[in-house]
Amino acid sequence: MTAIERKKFFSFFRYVVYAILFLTLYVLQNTPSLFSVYGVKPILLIPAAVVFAMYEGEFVGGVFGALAGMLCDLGGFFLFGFDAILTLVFSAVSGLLTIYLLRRNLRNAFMMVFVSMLIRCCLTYFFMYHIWQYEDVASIFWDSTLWVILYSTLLTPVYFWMWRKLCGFFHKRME
Amino acid sequence: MGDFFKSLRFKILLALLVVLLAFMLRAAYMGGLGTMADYVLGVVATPFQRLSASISYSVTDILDTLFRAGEYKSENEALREEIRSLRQQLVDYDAAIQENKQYKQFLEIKENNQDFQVELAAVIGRSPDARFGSVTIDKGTIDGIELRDPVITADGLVGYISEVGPTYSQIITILDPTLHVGVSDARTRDTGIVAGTIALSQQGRCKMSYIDRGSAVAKGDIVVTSGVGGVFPKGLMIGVVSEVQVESHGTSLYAVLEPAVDIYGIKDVVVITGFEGQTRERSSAPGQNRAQEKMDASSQSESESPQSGADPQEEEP
Repeated sequence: MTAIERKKFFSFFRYVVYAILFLTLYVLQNTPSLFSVYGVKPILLIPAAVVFAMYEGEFVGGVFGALAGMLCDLGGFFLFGFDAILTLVFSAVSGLLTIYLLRRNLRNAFMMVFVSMLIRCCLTYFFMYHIWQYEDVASIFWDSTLWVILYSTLLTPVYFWMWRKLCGFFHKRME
Repeated sequence: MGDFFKSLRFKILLALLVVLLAFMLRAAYMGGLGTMADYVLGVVATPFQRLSASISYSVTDILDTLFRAGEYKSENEALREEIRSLRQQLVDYDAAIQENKQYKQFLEIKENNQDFQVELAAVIGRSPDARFGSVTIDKGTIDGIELRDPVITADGLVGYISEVGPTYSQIITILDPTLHVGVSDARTRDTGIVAGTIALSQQGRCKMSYIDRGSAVAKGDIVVTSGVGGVFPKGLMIGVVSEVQVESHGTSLYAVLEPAVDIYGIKDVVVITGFEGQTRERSSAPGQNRAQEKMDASSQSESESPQSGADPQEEEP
């Protein structure tokens, strides 16, 4: 295999691996009882996509962000496409910020995941619960939504480490 | 960064965004029916989800047994105490007769349910932001499941199908404030509407509203579906009344129910795909489905509302 062929192979193969990883995260995210702490389960796909875009840039990050969001929509109970659009935007912004303004480090990853999760979960809370004006609706936010945001953000180092190893591996092979 | 907004990559991302927006609008327009992308992803992901759910259940059961041994022991003792107490009650002749009457009612319900066409399904997904115990099951349209099919367990009613794909379906439960079920008290025959509230759903309980002020509904009464409206069959167990209160407006009563089904712990369910008297007026034409659902919901609310002065109720948001 020549250097160019090897480069082509890895540039394709890495996308297959990334897609499989996102599918795995989807299965883990929706598996009943898994990672559940006092009834709170973390959202795995959106933070993973945001951190992924820090390594792969705004374009590949955005496309895989859309995939991650679509998987979220598949397991979720809201309009199909809602998470896909949001995650595409979050990932593209994350990629652009990493290229032009921010360093690629854990602190910035935490910040971007937290902001993304905060916006996404607040929008979901607003459209799924708040506008319907259920009785005692704020308790959903304090007892569930907030903890989902925090729990999901806390797992950022796992994605940061995972993507650093994986993207580093593929980038090295393609040099 | 300005270069990026003029680049081809930006235009591709923008096109992807527009496509996703179109998907979302279509999903909103079609109601509970998934889009093509939803179907494709569902077909790919469902087998993996089923496998991971079964692994998770096995591991959870083992860990549960190990970590909760002490709890089980005390629960076992409490249950033994309860059995002793129940045996004492059985000695009472009048109580025995009363129980006998109740069993007769259940027997009648069982006999009346021979018309059910059912599909067994396993719970394979629980989303982190699932509403009020909503779950995903491993059966879909290819198994004959359709929107709004009732879902039960051996203990009673769970909810109904809110979204269906080829190999999976999503269920909203009786703890959800948007699901309204016409019910009646098995003892007094008083009718009402069961729906969730946010506060009660966090405790795994739900609320029976619009009970007549002069009703004799009391703690311990069994509440079953009334069957009016044709969405749910008659006689499905909902739960037991745990308290009865007067509504804040003072014109009617409400009861807090302890559901017969442990909504947050269900693993296997039965979907009733057909029953005698089922209302299934659905349209396959795009756009008509949502309108039809609205019509169904309004006719449902009219027929299920137990008193003429009750607030208009919807079957589904």
